[in-house]
Amino acid sequence: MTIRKFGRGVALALRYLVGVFFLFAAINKWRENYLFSNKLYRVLSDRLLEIDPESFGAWFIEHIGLPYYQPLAWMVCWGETFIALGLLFGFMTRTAAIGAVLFNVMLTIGGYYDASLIVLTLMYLPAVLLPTGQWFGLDRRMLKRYPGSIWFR
Amino acid sequence: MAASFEGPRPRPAERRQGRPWSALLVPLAAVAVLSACNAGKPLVPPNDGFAIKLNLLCTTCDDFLHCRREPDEAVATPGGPEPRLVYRLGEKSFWAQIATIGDYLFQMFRQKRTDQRPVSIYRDDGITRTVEPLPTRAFIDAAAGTLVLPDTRIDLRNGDWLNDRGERIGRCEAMVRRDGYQMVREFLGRAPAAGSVNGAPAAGKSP
Repeated sequence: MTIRKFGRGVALALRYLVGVFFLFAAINKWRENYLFSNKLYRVLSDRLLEIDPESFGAWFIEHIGLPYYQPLAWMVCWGETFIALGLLFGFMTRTAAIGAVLFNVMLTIGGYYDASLIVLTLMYLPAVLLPTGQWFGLDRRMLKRYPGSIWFR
Repeated sequence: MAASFEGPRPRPAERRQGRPWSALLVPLAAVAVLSACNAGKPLVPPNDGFAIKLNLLCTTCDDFLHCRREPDEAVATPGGPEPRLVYRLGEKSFWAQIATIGDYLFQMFRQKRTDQRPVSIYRDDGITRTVEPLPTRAFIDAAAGTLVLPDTRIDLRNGDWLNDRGERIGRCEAMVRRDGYQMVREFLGRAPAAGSVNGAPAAGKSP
């Protein structure tokens, strides 16, 4: 029983840690006005100069990232915000955690890959695999209100 | 077993049903405390006025620092390439990349001021080219604006190249990364990158 409680505590702590991490990332995006400026374009341009021009990341930034920076900026800004709120409040928790994993995939494709993404993905997985929103969060209440809904499990 | 008219005690999860706001208050309090700790501090010390800018948070960046002695004693061989000495600060190792998660997570509490990077020397004296990986890492102190290399030091603020006694022996400047990668390909005897910014072919000298 104690081990189970400890495991739940660790899973919840990881969820909040990741939630705070995404919250700060989202706040940063809002403060820098990603939605209505060319900030992401400048960030990607700088990154293009940092990485090997023969890498896939460089190709992706040149052909996808820079031409479509505006919709990508909206995805990043709103995506990080919803992931942060979902993980912190335990609302649609598993969906938010899956979103966090997808963010890592996007970062990898976009040329921001490094070994830390492996560990970060492992940190997100407990919130995907375990019903942490049922243990502590709004999902428990929402599932009572909408029994059978897959979003609050 | 004695009968109880009070019924079973509510389980902790059931007790929490009556105070759902705790699900909101706990994370909000945590965020407020962490935010207060950071209080608008930049993640790394600003390097706006620096002649050489190194990104402390980039784990996969290569930085190429071209250093020239002053007065320059190296003389180019006729028709050959310019002699050069380039320090390459390589990307971090696998485990060092993983360790940077701490830099990101704890940036809420402390600012990252120093970093260590693997370093190798690309040396071309006009006749031979050598690549010499150094066993010791380069140490970057962003607050002091210095880069300590195994054999020398570089003042990042003005690009001065200093010996271990702190005497100026020359000057260093950061190469454009694409030029740096092109130089690496030249050293390895490979063709330059297709569509590279400069587009200039390699000097045509293989090791």
